[in-house]
Amino acid sequence: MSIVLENRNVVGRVLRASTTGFDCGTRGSRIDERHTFGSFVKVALNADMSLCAIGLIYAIRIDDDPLARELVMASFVDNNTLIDQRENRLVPVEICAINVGYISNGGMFQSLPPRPPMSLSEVELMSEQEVYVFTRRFDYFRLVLNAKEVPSDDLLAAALRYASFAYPESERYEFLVRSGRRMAELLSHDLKRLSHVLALIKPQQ
Amino acid sequence: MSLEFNKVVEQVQTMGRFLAHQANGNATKLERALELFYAATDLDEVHDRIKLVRDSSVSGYRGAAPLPRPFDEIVCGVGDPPPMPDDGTVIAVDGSQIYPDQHSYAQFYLINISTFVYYHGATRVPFQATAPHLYYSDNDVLDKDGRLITNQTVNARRSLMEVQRLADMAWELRGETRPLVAIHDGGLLKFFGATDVAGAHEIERDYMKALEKVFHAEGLLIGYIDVPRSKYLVSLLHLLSLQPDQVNDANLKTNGEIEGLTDAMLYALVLQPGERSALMVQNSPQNREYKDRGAEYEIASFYMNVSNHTGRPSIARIDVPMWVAKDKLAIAHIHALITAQCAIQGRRHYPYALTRSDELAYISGGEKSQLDELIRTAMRNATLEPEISNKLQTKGLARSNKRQHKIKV
Repeated sequence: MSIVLENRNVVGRVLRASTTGFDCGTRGSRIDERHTFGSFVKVALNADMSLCAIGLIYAIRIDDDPLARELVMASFVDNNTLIDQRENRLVPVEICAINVGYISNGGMFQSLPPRPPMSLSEVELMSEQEVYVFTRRFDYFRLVLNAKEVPSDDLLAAALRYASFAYPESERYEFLVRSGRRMAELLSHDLKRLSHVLALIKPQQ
Repeated sequence: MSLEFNKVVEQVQTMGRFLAHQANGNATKLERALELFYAATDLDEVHDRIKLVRDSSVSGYRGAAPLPRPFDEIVCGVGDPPPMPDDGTVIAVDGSQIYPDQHSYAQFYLINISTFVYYHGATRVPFQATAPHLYYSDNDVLDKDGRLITNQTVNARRSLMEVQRLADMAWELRGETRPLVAIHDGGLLKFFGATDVAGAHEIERDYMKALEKVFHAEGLLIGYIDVPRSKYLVSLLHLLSLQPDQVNDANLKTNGEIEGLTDAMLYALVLQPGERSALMVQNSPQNREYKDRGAEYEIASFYMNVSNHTGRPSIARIDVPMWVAKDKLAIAHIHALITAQCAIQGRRHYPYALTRSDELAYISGGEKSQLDELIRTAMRNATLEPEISNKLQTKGLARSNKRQHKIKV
């Protein structure tokens, strides 16, 4: 099973879910570049994967316990103790995602999915091609900006930076400029917020 | 009716005053004990005094005695922290249990044995494993009179399984990097009381076999006792304070003017962080029995201040069989590896390997409930009706969470 997990860019398995988002868990030893704030993930809502929810990772939490807290107090943490904590003691990592769309029979939609994923469903990173196709439209901006208990401005900026790498270099600048324009329309009533998000996604010249 | 704290509070306050009074009294006794301790520099004199109690009609001496010559160490001697060996393997085994309950739907008990191996000096993932053992046959759960076995019997069987597992691991890992230290949580000098423990004789026999196996694997077996309450050294100091004609059972019944002190209290004033005390053996019929089975199996012990800073000392007792005690290098390796293990958890000075093996062995309340459910399901599948006694059922009802009555609006 673990080989399959590695090959399919699995981020974790669903712990709890609703139509607005889902939390998934994984082992501390597995955390890597797949678990990135602002990355696009998908999770199947049915067995044949013809229906998938699309989410944006907005939080990654690593839990502690009393032993971990004691080890932190030690003046020196031995390498084998570190490995033991990460490999053997199953340090739990929770990854939270908000739903920004769904895939149905090959088509992508930028609205909430029809139902939440079931517990233990595998959460995967979306492929570059999928991110490219999904982010050509900006209707999901509203879902992110209106989400509660989510750092929406920073999340949207991180998602756009993440998505920009799915574009060929020749299209990347254009993509960010179009995104900025759409954001300006949505945040025209809140110029402080708009300038903050625009600064975050400003393309490097 | 639950605990009425208003009736307990005064008793608790009295207890606090009693403990404070006891501690004040101990301060004077400790001064006297320190005088006796630092005066115990002549090993010949100590050997003579031990010979006196062993060869005479005196039978009540249960204090410390030096190791046989030439392995004996000066009573007030202190060992500096030795350098760490380049490599080393530390095996820790622990166990936990679910006791049998005569009111339960089925008579069974469970022992969960955990193993944890920590490799010092090389970057390797520590090894961990658990092995649960479920016992339910009449042979296992009933004693020879057909009564349900006692909790002491389960404890004794668990202790035996822990040491057997240590022996198996020491044998399995005999090709691993040396020193190979096998840590048992508790003293090595076991007393399996024949009146409380079913099959005590067999348990004792198998325990000795396990010790032999560690010996043949050339493992450095230790028993680790946190917060020891033993008085071996204090009794020796009392013995040394007596005139030869005063050495009799009546005078050895207590520790005289230093009665009430423990070795740990004294060593807390003597041992600096990382230091160890002299190696000694306990003079007892039980240890004599171990020695009679083979000179290598007599149990010796030393104390260590396992704290790594000059704050409050943490005194632990380390039991070792004689084959380890006689090997100066082995003792130095144990001393160094225990110091390193106790430094891992920051402010908590306890071997990391033991903490982890305890964590692995522990059976939580939730896990016990799940096991109960599994057994009940297995019984139903076998067309049996699992039923607990009325006593247990009513206890469960009365002890469960109480709900306040509310008026519906």
